[in-house]
Amino acid sequence: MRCAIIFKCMAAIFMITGCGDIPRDNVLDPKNPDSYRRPLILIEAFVNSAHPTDYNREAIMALQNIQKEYSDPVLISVYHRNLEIDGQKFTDSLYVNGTTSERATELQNTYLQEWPGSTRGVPDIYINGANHRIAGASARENVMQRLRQNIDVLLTQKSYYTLTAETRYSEKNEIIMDCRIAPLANQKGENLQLRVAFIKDVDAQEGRDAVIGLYDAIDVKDIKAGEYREITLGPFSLWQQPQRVIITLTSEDRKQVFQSIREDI
Amino acid sequence: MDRTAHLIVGLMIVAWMGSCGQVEDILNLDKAPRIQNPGIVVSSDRVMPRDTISAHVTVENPTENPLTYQWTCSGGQFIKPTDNDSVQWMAPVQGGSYMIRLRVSNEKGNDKDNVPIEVVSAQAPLVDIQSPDEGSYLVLYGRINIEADAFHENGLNWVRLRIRNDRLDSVLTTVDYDRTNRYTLEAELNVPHMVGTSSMVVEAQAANPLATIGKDSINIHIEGVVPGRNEQ
Repeated sequence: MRCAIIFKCMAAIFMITGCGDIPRDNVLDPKNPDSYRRPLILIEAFVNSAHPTDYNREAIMALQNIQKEYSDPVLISVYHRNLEIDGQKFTDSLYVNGTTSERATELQNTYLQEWPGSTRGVPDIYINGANHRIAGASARENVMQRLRQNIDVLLTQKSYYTLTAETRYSEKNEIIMDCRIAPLANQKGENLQLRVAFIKDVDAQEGRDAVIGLYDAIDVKDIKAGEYREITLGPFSLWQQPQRVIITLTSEDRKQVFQSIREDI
Repeated sequence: MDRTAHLIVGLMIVAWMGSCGQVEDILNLDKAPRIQNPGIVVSSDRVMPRDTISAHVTVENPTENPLTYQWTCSGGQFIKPTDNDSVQWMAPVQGGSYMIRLRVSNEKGNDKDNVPIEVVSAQAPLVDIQSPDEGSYLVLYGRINIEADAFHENGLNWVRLRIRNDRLDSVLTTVDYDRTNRYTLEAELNVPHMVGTSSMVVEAQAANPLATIGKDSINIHIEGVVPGRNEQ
């Protein structure tokens, strides 16, 4: 019995000493200087499906094809915009008025700041923020080709943030999300923001991946290296039930996307 | 005494005359040949490759001695004889600007003249689009900058940009010859019929009577966009 106690103590001492020597070689360990996550690619498209030209329809169909082609690593959110050209209005049936529309306009304007002198219009597609843009469309194959060129490059890059979320409902049936954010590679996270887009497939054609609610510029306080931060988002009350949400971790100016996740609701 | 004085005076006159001749030689003012206006006269100053032209010059020779003619050229060749005031010159195969030069001399000095001859090149101008790249995607209503190299031995009248597809054949912009080989053509893609795959053609016209046109083309994709501000 006595020997057994001594043996257990010695084993414990060995274990404690051994723990200190565990190499931090897990790529998901935030304190591992080489930790990273596989990137998810966020595609944000500004479209108007009411205009008689085919440009927007071709772009939307290209996005759907790309989603099928790449599946999980690609997240798509489509902002349907109303247009007014020379006094003539082109009202998109999936347009969401109010603050969501204002935020979408502001988002596109923010992205456009990175493209001075370029034509402002729709379709206008951004991939992981402002730096990768596909403006205009002629045929869906062209759009797909351009998307592939960007996605394939971005998929080879590492993401140095991990982002998780769990969705729940309040007693009032409002959506609440518990997010956990951690900078990886033993680096700190500074000047971060979150963007939340609620998505609904209104129909199987042009109405897929439509954004029905947008909340952005949610501040994330600085995170020390090797630590994580938990943030509760919401409660969100939308006029229609979303099917999923895309949460995006961005830079303070919202132009750079660090990591995104998609959660079914 | 008188005979001696006459002899001395005579010798002084001879010496004086002799010394005057040396001064004249040193200054050489009047004895060098002079090419008379209008200089070298050619039968034609713009010729086709392998054409032969004649060149003639009138030279005033203040001395009794013969003149030496040295005809040279920057290209092509002379048909012998070439030691006279007239010469036959055959243009080279390659077009461009050439110079016929003459140096005419006697023992007292020389005079020079030259005349440019343009040899017309039947070849089309060389055109090479540097940017954008083949298969580039451009956006309707956007402005484009095209960099292209264009060259012809006789110079160029113009360089122009054309967009062509099955619905459209439109010259977007033309620039004049600016004596450089690199041209920048700016244009606005403002016609909806441009949307789709088109040929972007850069053409250049030779500045000679043949006015041959050289071209280079790439395929580009012009992507349609509906311009306008979002309604809030």
